[in-house]
Amino acid sequence: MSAAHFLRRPEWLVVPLIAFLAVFYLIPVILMLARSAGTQTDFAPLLEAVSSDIARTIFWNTLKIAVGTTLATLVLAYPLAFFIATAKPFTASVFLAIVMVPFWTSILIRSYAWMVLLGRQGLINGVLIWLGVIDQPIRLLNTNFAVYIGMIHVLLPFMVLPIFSSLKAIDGRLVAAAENLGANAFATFRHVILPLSMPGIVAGCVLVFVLALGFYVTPALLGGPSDMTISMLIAQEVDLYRWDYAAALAGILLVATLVALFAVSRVVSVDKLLGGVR
Amino acid sequence: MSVLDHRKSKPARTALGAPVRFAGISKSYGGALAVSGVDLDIAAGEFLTLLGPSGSGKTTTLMMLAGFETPTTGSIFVGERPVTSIPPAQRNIGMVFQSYALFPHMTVFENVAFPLRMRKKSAAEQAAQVKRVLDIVDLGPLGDRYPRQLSGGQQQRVALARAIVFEPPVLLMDEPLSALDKYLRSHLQTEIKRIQRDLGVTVVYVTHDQDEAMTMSDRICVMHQGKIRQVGSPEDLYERPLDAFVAGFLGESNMLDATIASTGDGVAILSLGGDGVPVPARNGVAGATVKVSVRPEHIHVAAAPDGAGAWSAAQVVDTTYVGDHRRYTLRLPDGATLSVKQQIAATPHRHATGETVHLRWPGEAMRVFAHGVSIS
Amino acid sequence: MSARPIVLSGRASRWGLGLVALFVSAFLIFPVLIIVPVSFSAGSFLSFPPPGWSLQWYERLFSRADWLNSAWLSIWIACLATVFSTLLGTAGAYGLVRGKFPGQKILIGFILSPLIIPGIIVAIAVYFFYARLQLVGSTLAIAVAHTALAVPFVVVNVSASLYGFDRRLEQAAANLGADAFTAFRLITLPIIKPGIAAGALFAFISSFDELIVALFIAGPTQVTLPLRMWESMRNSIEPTIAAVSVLAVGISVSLFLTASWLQIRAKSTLPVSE
Repeated sequence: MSAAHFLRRPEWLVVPLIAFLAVFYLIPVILMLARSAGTQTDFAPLLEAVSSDIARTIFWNTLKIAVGTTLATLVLAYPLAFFIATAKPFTASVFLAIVMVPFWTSILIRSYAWMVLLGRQGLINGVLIWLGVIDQPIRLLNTNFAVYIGMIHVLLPFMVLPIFSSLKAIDGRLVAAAENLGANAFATFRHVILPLSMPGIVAGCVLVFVLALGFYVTPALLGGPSDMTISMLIAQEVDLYRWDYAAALAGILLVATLVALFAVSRVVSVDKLLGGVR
Repeated sequence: MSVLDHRKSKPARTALGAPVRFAGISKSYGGALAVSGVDLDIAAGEFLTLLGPSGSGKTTTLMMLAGFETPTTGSIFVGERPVTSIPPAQRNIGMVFQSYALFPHMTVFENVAFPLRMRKKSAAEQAAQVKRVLDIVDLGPLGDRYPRQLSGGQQQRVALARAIVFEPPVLLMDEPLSALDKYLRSHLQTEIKRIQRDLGVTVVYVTHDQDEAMTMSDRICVMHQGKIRQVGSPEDLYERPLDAFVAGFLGESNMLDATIASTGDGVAILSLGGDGVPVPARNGVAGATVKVSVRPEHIHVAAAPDGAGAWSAAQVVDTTYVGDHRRYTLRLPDGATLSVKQQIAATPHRHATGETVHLRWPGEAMRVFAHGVSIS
Repeated sequence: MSARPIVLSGRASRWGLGLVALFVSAFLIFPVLIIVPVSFSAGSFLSFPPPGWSLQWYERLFSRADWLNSAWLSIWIACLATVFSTLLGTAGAYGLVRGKFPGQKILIGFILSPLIIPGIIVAIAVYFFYARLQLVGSTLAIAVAHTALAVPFVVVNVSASLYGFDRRLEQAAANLGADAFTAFRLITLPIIKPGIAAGALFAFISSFDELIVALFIAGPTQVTLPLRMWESMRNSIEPTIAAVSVLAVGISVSLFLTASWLQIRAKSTLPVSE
């Protein structure tokens, strides 16, 4: 088949990619899910995962962190996105770059930075002592607080970007019209800007929530023993050679992720959602 | 102008145009007919315009000639050659696309040289040919520019140069001037016409702008809802529209309701606004309801009836001054409204709103349509 | 884009918003910047502010073969993953954008899903799979696993430039005598090239920074840079990592800026405005 053939029937060009992803991504995931049925196909690993108190506690903990992180990033991201969307072009590009640069710094490095800041000899303890708020260093690292800070820091850009693009798409004449019709600043925001930026808010929240569900590196490095997430539990079970059990836990996490994605795919299309990832 | 000097010093090489024939062409998209039963002969060297509103099938017809659409039925010939199953790249038909489709990553030179490069011409020949056509379109010194560095009018000229550089026998133009302002448009209309005449190339031109069609074409093919409604010279179409659509689409027409009172000897007597009016009509049945079209400029407005012709009283509803002429909106006794244009130079008097006036127009200025088809 | 941007009336709200934006931006960028002074610390353990300044951590980094080997290994893997994902992703994006077939939406969702599925799921799935095939410990196998994670970046970027591409340019090329392949080579490819390059750079960065999959499928001799940092950070947080981080951030940021620049350029080479 000639190159021209592929250009006339471009469908075929997807085949290598699909084949590759099927072999090195889809089939491994399916085989892994099949493991949760156990060696006797009695779904013992899955039942164990569902009935385990430890797993349930860790799932709840993960869910709590994911929800908390989502809400916190929303509160922080909206004003920033609003500021960038309404700023002059140069200011906007500077702030956008600030949002994007940490986005492309590895999670490891950003976690390391928080270790430096939150450590006993770190900057924050130093400043607090210098201010006289505390007498001696307090424990900030390896706490729940550190996990939240680290995760918010990593996930904030995923919230800022979708909200920014939905705000940017609002025709400013609508805002001018609302003001002209007698709406004050709050009413304009409440009745015009907020509803029109809702797709961005939904996209950002889903993205952050779903990504937060699967977090591993940040809680492992910044959290304490009680801050275990479901991803950490899975990794630990793999290390203990309890592979089927780990597979069952991973299956539950995957289903939770897909349910969250499916629930919003009715509001925002998935490729739009992932467009914000760039 | 330098272009003219150039032309005098070196007579234009004429690539003789080829005739084009559409035979029974139809195109349907999943059952919906976009073009149906198009039969059209275009003479060599003719400038033919496909004119119609959007969705009339004119662009689809052009795209079938270029090879980007395949007719569902029928064949297309360029010269003697059937081209229906030939891929676009081998048809050797020049085309100026809507909004030009200039390659943004190539300079003007590279854009214009592209068809020569595809035809494996030597570098020297490419350079010579490109220089020749860039001079024709008056863009000689701009070969190194990129399209985005050019004005709209210049981009249009590059597109034209690129379409003629390989001396195609047929040149297609798809709304080539629609993105330009009014002044530039009329300037380029003249330019395109001149180049077409010099090269002797057959041009098939698509537009929805009737003024443009009237100005440029040897013949106009009016299309509506996928069908050809009338083909003819601009004058033919304007003066003798074969159906009510053509009468309304080319220029302005007043459409009045009338009844045929009696017929005989190529003349019908119409009852129009209460009066009996004789008009030329080939056939017609007494008692039939018809539509009568009258161009606004053919109606004469006067304070009192005077002289021969069809007369009717009317009331002035509105007047507008438009520089060279005055426009009246009038109401006839039966309630129909009529639009009238009066040349200021000929009739300087202004009739006031509310005034009762008398209208006259020659019988031959009327076209009578029964069921939308002319019976005049 | 909107014809007119949103304009805030009221200076107070403008300033208040600016202040909040400044605070949030500082929160984003400050931790990344703080690594720079730490990397020049004269102290022997992690403290801030540093007790003095020196280049000792950089010296240590460049004198120790293990860190350098890890860096080269990561670069090598990232290069392989970039080549694989760019080839597969560009062809795939072309097929997705230009092709017509049922279930296109689902297919796009599937191709992009590695971006959003928790890393640990992909990591252990691939680990179990490789364990079965005895591929654990193969450098090529790491690159292949990274390709699955990197390919969505290429697909997203290339599709975007293909969607922005004016199909009439291809028609024009065909009309002027170019066959389908020539039109692709001379017209389409040069115009979408910045999109491909941006996708490739994002793919490179994603593989270069990838930890979780490597954590499971790398053999004991294949310590990628993120793996070595991870191990080092779990044991002690000595400033060597700060030095590595500064270099890695420098590379990532400059690649990222190049990619953004390419994206902007990709937009500006799109068809001329009417």
